[in-house]
Amino acid sequence: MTSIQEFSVSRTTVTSRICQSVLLICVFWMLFIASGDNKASQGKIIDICVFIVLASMWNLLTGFSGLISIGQQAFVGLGAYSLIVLANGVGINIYLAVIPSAIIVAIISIPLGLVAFRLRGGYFAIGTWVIAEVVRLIVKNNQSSVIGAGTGTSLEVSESLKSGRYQVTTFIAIAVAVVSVVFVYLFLRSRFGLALQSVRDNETGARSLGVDSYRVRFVAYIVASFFTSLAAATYYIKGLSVQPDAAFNIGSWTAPIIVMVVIGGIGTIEGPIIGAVLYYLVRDFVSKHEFFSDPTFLILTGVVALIFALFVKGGIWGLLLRKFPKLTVFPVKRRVHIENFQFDQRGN
Amino acid sequence: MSLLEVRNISAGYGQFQALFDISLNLNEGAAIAVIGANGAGKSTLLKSIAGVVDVIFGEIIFDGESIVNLQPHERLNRGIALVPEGRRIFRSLTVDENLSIGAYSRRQGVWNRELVYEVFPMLAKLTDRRADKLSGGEQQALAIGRALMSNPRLLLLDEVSLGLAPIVVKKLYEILPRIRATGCSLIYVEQDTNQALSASEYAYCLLEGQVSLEGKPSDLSREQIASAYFGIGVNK
Amino acid sequence: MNWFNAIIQGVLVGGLYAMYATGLSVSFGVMRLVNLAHGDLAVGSAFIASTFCLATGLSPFLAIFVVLPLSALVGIGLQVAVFNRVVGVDPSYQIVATFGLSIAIQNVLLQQYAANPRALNIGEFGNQSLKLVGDDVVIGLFPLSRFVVAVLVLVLLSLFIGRTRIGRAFRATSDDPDIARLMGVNIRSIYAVAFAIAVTTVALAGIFNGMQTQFSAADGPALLIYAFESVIIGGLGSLWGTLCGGIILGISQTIGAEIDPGWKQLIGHLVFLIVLLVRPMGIFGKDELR
Repeated sequence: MTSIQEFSVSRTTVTSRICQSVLLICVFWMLFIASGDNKASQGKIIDICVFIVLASMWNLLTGFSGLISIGQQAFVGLGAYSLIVLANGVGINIYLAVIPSAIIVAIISIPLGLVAFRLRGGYFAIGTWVIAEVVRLIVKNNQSSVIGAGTGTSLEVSESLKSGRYQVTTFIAIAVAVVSVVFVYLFLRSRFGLALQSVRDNETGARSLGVDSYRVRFVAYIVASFFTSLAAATYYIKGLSVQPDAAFNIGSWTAPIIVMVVIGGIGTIEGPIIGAVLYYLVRDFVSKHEFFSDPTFLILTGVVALIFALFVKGGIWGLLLRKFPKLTVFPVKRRVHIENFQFDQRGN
Repeated sequence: MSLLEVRNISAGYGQFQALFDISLNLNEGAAIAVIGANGAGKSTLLKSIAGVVDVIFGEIIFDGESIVNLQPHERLNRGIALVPEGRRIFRSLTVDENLSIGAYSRRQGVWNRELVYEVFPMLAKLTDRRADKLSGGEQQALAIGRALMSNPRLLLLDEVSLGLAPIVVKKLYEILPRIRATGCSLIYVEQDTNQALSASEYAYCLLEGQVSLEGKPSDLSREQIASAYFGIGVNK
Repeated sequence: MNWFNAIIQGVLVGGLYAMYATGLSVSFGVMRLVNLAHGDLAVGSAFIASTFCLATGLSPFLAIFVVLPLSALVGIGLQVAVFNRVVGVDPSYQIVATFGLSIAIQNVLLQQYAANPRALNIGEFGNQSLKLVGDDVVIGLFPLSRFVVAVLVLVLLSLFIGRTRIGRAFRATSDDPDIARLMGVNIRSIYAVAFAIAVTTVALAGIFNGMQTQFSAADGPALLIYAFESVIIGGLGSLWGTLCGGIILGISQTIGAEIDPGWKQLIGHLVFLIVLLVRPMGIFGKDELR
């Protein structure tokens, strides 16, 4: 046995610093476009940022907490409608209404979570979907003029805010995406995040060590609801019109989110970002080609999700890691450096 | 004539190797004991014989043929039955149904439901009771009975005494000679050495995945066993 | 408003829901698998039956005898190609894989059959009915026979699971697959049989549904949800519970529709949520099953 002489514990590595710098450059590039006049590019950035948030949040649930949700559309729709109520109903400035509407949804998610948490595993998944359906039907049957029942309604933008809406929305979208990703990163690095992952890996074991598995999962669920609706509200400042069947649609929200995360890599912070960007680029490319009708694209999406889930469980990021084991953008693990030795806390 | 011959096997789970170069021999009709501390690799040894754990190196010869590449159910068909650690009876099935699953392989022989109930009278009154409603001793009897229903030539008993009251363990061990009388060979794995040693003709002691001591129980001194068991004062 | 009639109709629809749910219940019970493409398999079968009828001019009832063996084969094929790889692994991959399958099937149907709804025409039989209590309660002959068939399927299945050798192996595998293997049970073939049963029953339900109402490519998810709600309301691990769950769901929906046509699904979902809150193990569920 050699005695441990000098050692230090750190999380950052050289590669993680390089990758973070690259990411930072991307953010600045997006900010540059946001300040310009190109609405088409701004629209794309908004969409990509929104999907990065949605994917990261689904991944926080499924990849890090073991809560498989296929009902994220509930929070997209609720985010949209909270924004409608606050802006059209109460008359709050649309930009200022974004955060309050996400807070409202986070509060609503508590009773919804109490119901969903009665179920486990695959049945939890279907349960979240039923809940999303219930919320959709309630909204659809609501006859008040603010909600607009089945036909939906549009966000009213006051004259003073009309100019520069795309610019402001792009800034908001970038901010929301950056805050979400950084939040997830810090969240997972915290004591709480460690508890969360221990529950995912071995619930009984974690509980025997005093982790309240119900509570940590519930908090993750609320956090995910908050950020999902924050992204949704941002999206609808761009889109303006809201219909219940579209806002609560599993096919236009949760399906692409799942595909993004699974191709990027479930259970990593980097995976959903890669997946969201890749998915968006592919969809953008495909939409310009006749061959890929909507169904064809969706068939391919489904098959790709299936193939990744069966054969490429780590996703693209997992493949990259296998090739470059030191690669990391968001180091969550602690590394111990002892002279020339280095091993991480999981003993891999 | 040797029924089972384990030749220099190494085995483990994924990256973790639990057995290192273990050899063992069992004659037809004999009973041997495998003892050792928690984590010594006893259960892994039985599981590799039953086919649930993959053997990395080495050979397992059963009745003159290599079985190392056979699936668990194929080994069962040749007459190897495992009574797993922790009993693992089918909880939602009745006692009777558990025995039926034991006979799933349809191997012919002396053992049938009636004989099991005769040997384990405590089960005879409980035929229609759900197995999760049985006491620990009854569950262990059922687990042994279930294995016997496949008419094994070799019965692997993993920690029969675990978690049972001494009186119940004594009762179960009293029944084992009846099983041997049908021509079935036995391998006992126990942490509690006394019962296993007194019931067997030959014993192996495992320590950290290797055989640390072997011999006839009558030839082994208490000190020898203790040092082989705990790994104190052993010269490698 | 005719409450009594609503209840009768609800019971009859409930039989159909139970048939949807049976496969979900069996595949979860035996292999802990939640198949999100379950409803899409029902819709797919109805489309195949419809194609068969259009091509041959034969009755949909004959199509059943063609489609069911086919769906059993599809079930075995899916089990071997897809589900064997997700049994026992992290459930998130199970969900993603079956969700991907569901999206793929839905859109293949959409591409093949467009968005237009179809129906299976069973002719006069579809219009015949029994009138009870004066003319207040009308029981369609077809919904009634469909209910009887559903109950019959459940009886046969519960006899199969309760009394036969393979049925015992089903339950043993459900309890402890590792030990079942040690007892000589080939669990892969057990899984294949279980999944063949799941697909066959849901295919029959899909065809029965198409004989009474129109169906379209996007209906699968709704059917999955009805099946799921029936299973949870009734309680996991109990086929009779599933029948009762289906009936409760059916009655809730018909009563909801009596109050306001827009509330049909909503009331059904709400009853499901209430059961989940008040009695999470379901009405007939045993508490040891999660």
